[in-house]
Amino acid sequence: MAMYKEVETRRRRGRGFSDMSQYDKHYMHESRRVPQVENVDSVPLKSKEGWILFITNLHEETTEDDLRFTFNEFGEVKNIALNLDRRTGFVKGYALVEYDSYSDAVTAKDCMHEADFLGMIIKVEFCFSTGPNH
Amino acid sequence: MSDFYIRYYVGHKGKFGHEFLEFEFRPDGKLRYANNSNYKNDTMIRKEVYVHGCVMDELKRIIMDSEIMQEDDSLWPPPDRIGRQELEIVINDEHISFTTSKTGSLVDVSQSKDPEGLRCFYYLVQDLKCLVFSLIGLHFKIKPI
Repeated sequence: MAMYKEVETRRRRGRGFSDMSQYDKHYMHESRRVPQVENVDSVPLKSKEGWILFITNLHEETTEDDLRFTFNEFGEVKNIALNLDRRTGFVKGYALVEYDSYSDAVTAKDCMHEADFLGMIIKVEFCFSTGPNH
Repeated sequence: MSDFYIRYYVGHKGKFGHEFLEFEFRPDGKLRYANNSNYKNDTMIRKEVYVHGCVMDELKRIIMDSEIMQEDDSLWPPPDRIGRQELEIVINDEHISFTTSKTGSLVDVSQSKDPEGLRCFYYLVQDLKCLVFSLIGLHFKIKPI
């Protein structure tokens, strides 16, 4: 049975709380209450054209070539997104890597999750899921 | 389960209608994305997908590293006719709900009454957009804007 939070006891800060145009947009407003279900990581979800992994704790000087070179071991990497920190210019710390097949993706995940990559212990998981109520 | 929620909105109502970008991550991992631009092709893009807990963890890390939860919008320029931005974040015992006008450039930021806070907001918003555009863009194979 999903439990609804009845009363907000959090510390609040910001003009948004007194801005009437936002009154019913707030997270805790009745109209927006979400059942507080567990974020159970259920079944990995296929993306439009392939299977996407989410990698975190990357070394700040990681390059796309570094990622492609290593992750191509498990199958051809079709797409990479390696975003930069907009302030520092180093990588933000995460990347998305896409494979065509589930078996390539799951092999990469099993081999590289908690592996040492450029001196950092990275985490590798499937990026998307079917959600908590599959 | 500790609560974690984030919503960002930027938009304005002008001669081309209501143009906006909004995304939210819900505690159960659902990412909801909407982009309405009437300028070129009058289409609304709405997408939803569940992300794995590791994405939510990374999002939380990015937010905590930015230190936005220690900031306050009281000295930031208020929303105006040019546009508005909204950032709402719930992390455990803290709930922030900031509103401000559209941010022009870093020059505008450094000339404001709270350059440190607004700069923090400015960079966090850019980092959030990067993450969301990558998630939506790669999953749905669309150009999100």
